Parts: sequence; C-alpha cells; structure tokens
Amino acid sequence: MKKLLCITVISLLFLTACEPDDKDIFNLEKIKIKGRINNTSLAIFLGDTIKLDIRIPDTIQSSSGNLIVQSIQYANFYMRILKIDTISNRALQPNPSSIWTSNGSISTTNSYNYLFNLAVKPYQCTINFKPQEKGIYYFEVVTQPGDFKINASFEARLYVNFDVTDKHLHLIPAALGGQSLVNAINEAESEGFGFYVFRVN
Amino acid sequence: MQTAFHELGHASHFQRAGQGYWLDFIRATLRTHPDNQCNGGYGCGNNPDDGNVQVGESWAEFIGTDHALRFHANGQKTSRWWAAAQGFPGGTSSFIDYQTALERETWFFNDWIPTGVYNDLIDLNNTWAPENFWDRTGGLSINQLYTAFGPNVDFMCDYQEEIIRLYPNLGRNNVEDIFRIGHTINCTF
Repeated sequence: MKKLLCITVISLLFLTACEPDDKDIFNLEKIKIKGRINNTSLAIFLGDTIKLDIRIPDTIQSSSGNLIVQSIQYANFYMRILKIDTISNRALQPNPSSIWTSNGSISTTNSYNYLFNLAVKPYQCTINFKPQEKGIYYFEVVTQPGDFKINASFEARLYVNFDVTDKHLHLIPAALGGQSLVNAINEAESEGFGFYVFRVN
Repeated sequence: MQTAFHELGHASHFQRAGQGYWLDFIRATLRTHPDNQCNGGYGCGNNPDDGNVQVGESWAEFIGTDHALRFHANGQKTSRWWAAAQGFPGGTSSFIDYQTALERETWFFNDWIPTGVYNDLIDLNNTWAPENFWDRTGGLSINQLYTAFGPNVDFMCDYQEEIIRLYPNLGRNNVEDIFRIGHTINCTF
C-alpha cells in the first residue's frame, strides 16, 4: 500500500507538474523601450547617485496598430549592476543597500528582476545606485526578455536599452574579453538589450 | 525529446535525494498548481520547500536540454525563446546552439529557477563574453554534478556548498561567483 501510494504520488508529480509550461508566451511581440540615465558622464564621483528611469510610453506600437496603454498587468525586466575588479578581473556585486527603486520594486526572488510601478501613470521603474567604492561599474540588461501585459489583453516581451550614445565600453579591461566582448554587446544591442559602463572617482 | 530527458532528469535526482526530499518537492509543487499561482506548479520562490523545486527543476531542465542536444547530430535544437530574442515573428522557431541553450535559454518564467548554473560548472570557455566577468572555472562532469545531490541538498545554496566541499580545486570565490553573480543565488550563511 505504501509503495502504491508513493508510486501514485510520484506519477502525479511527473504528469502534472514537471513539464515546463511556456504558455505560448514566446508567440508574443517584441516591445523595445529605452531608459534615461541622469548622468551619462564617463565618470561620476563617490557620493553621487546614478539614476535609471524607464517609462512605459502612453502608446505602444504593435503589429496590429497603436495601442493606448490604459492599464498594465505586469511589466518587468532583468538587469545586473556590477563592479569590475580590475586586479582579479572578476565582477563584484555592490552592497545591496546601494541599489534601490524609487518607482517600482525589485523581485523578492531574483535580485536582477525589476518590476515597474503599475499603480499610477506614468508607469515607470526608477533604479537608484549610489556606489560605495571607487572603480568601474556597469549595467547589463540580461539577455532575457521581460514580461509585459497591458489593457488586460495585449501581451509582449519587453526589451530594455539605455538612451545613451556613448556607453563607455572602452573602460572594460581587455582581459575581460576585448573585441569578443564588444561583439557580444553589439549583438545584444541589436536585439534590444542594453549595456552601459561608467567610472566612479 | 527534451521533455522525455527532462523527466528522466527528475528520476535520476530522485535516486540521490530519496523519498523524504521528494515529498517536500511534491508538496511545494502542489501548493501552487491548482490556482496557477506564480506561473503554476513550480512554487513561488519564497514558500516553504520551494528550494526543492529550485534544485529539482533546474537539474531536470539542464539534463533535458543537454541530452536532447546530444541526440541531435548537429548539436542544435529549435527554440521559440531564441527566435523571440532574435526578433523573429511570433510563433516561429530558430535553431539554438549548445551553449546558448544550456545557459541562456529560459523556459521557466519563475525567475528563481537557475537552469544555467550546471553548464557553467562544466564549461571552461565562455562563448558569451559577458560571462567572463563571473565564469572563470569549470571542468566538472555530469556525474560529478550529480554526486553533489543528496537528501539534504534542499536549496541551491546547499548545492553550492557541496560543490565547493567535493571539488575544492574550483575555488570558493569562483564557484560563488557563478551562483551569485551569474545566477542570482545569493548564499549568505
């Protein structure tokens, strides 16, 4: 009986829960938006706060025409904020207390997942970063499209980039990839994902 | 094909983890399945026993993709995720290579299931250059990865510690960087 119960329960798990369910979510359109950085200088100073502000526009261009955004059910994207240790050539995570959102929030289960504020217009996500050490830092929108649903009906995948002309890629040490890294970043850029580097003096 | 290997990945994990672990896994799975909470059937990432889902599903997904790619002679499989990432029209698929499928393809919409961590512990070269910032080690075999599972490996942090204990030559910093920076598994003890 005990064995039968075990087999039944295990079978139930396999049959109902183990197969990843993509819900046809990748049949969705690709929506690209750009965020603004408050200070795009090559270098900022210790004590400064660098702020990334991303807003969902009032109108979304879809393949079936323009959609006026009346409500948002969910909107999120993935981004790393890391410091480059130029001695060991490794990335370091800044102290979590140096990163916070003033609009939107950070997922409780994945610290790279930023959620937009959906309560009031403009629907936005504002990420603040106040470095606690000098050095070279970067923002990398992870090459995984975010989730996006508006007006209770239109779903899409969200691609976030930075509205910045010079992304200061030359600050990245050659030992960390050189041209192959630049190529990878350009590929991500062409897809719609952003990468931005800056120095803290 | 990937699905069949995915389920066999669960079966292999069961051999190491045992019944006690599996009952916790089932409990966490069923907790969110009926109401389709948190993309249903995989926990929410912060419920009791969700660590079992995190460990079990990430391993099964890795095994499923790895073996599906071995089965296909050209080492590629179709992927709607990759098609979407490349901007192809909705619903189409494109071919995805081994490294991209194992490390960057995302099936689970539960953002705390880290399917890519295993291949980062295997590969010695990064094909996606931004990984150079945090993936500086590797060389483990699938069997070595498998050996680190057990009845008490309930969280990815338990798994990280087992990997460091069993394979100290990898270096604690290097392993922690893969888990923490590459896959947002922040283990503070």
